[in-house]
Amino acid sequence: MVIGRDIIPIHIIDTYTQFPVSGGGGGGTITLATKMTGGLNNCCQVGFYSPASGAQDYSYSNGVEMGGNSTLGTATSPTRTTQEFDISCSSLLSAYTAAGHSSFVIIIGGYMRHTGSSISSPSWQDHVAGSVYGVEVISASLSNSCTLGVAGRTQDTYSTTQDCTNLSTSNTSAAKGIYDYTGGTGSGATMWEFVFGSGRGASSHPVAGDDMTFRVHASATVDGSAVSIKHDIIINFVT
Amino acid sequence: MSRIAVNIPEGTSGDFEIAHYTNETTDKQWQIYLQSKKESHSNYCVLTTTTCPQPIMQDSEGEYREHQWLWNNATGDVFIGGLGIGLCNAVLISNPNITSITIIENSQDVIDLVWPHCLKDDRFNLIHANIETWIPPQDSQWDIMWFDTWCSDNPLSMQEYKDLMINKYSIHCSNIGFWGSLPPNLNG
Repeated sequence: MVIGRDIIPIHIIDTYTQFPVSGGGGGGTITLATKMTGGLNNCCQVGFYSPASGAQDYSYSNGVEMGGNSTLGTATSPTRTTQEFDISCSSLLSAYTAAGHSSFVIIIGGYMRHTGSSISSPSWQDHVAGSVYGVEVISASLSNSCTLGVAGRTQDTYSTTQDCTNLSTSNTSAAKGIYDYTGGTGSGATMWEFVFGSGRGASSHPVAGDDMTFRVHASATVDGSAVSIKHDIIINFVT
Repeated sequence: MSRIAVNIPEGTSGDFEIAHYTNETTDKQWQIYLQSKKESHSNYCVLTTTTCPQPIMQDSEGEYREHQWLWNNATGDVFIGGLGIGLCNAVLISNPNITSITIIENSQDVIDLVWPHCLKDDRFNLIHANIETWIPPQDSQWDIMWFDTWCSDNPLSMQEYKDLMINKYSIHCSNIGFWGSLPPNLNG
């Protein structure tokens, strides 16, 4: 685990702790949580989903990370909450061996909680520069020619709802966290896609020590005031 | 995106084969490659070996992109590790800023399959040697060195290979690049 000097580790279970959010003057704020009630606050659901036909599941990430394996914290510049967890390279390899896909997509989900009396216009799709929906790649250190790209298979149905906690594995279900997986064609309707390295004799995989950091931008209007939040998801590849 | 198609005839020599694949070639590993690189062309020239499940080189858009460091930096005396399908020849031959191009290739089979057919002029010089053990002539210096001899059947990891090449050749050049070494293309 790597904790920067500006990160304060915290472990919060079923507790509703507020961190500063930008905008607004009414005092109401938003946070991201794994469930509507219970679960973990200041934490998102994260899964690596195989998009190809057959064997559609989250085996690439050994299931959906619900925060149980995450270290939660905060950081500054910009003010944000942080969530850091490990992914086993051996699990990744096992999933690849079983499925033989060229890529998987990174699914992020959660529930947008608030402290006011009302919330409107929830959005997980702030199109900040370099982001896909509201998800920005802050850094990606990937070995063996593995890359992050974008996959265009979604539409905007869920990214403007408060509850994006359904990370379904069903082929017929459209909900995949903040993404609608039914195959949208709108501009910006994409997800981050991890692509295995290839080109020199075999597909190749990340190694222990590689990492990826995504920043989730979310916003809403709480009690009439616009508020927003940033949440970093730091994924470390380990043996 | 750019792509340079090469014209090497099909053939087999030892463990190596030059084959002409299409986007419909029914080889699972080839299809995985096409998907991973988001390739859209119909015809490709590929180099395969029996020791690797996927082709070890192809004239694809992804391949061109993975050579971008070389395209950007090639000037003066250029050193190339790996002949492959002669893709570097096809691009560098039109670069007037290059004085000489020294290519090291370990496999005589690859040389037999490709060298007679790839583009070249009197600036090109081919050496049959293993880049991991070859001893350059004393005081040899190049303006840039490009290393593209690692394949998945190499017992070294890609990073170990890179470290070895840097340690071995940095006294001969201060500008060293590797296949696929550009940062990820975050815009797909």
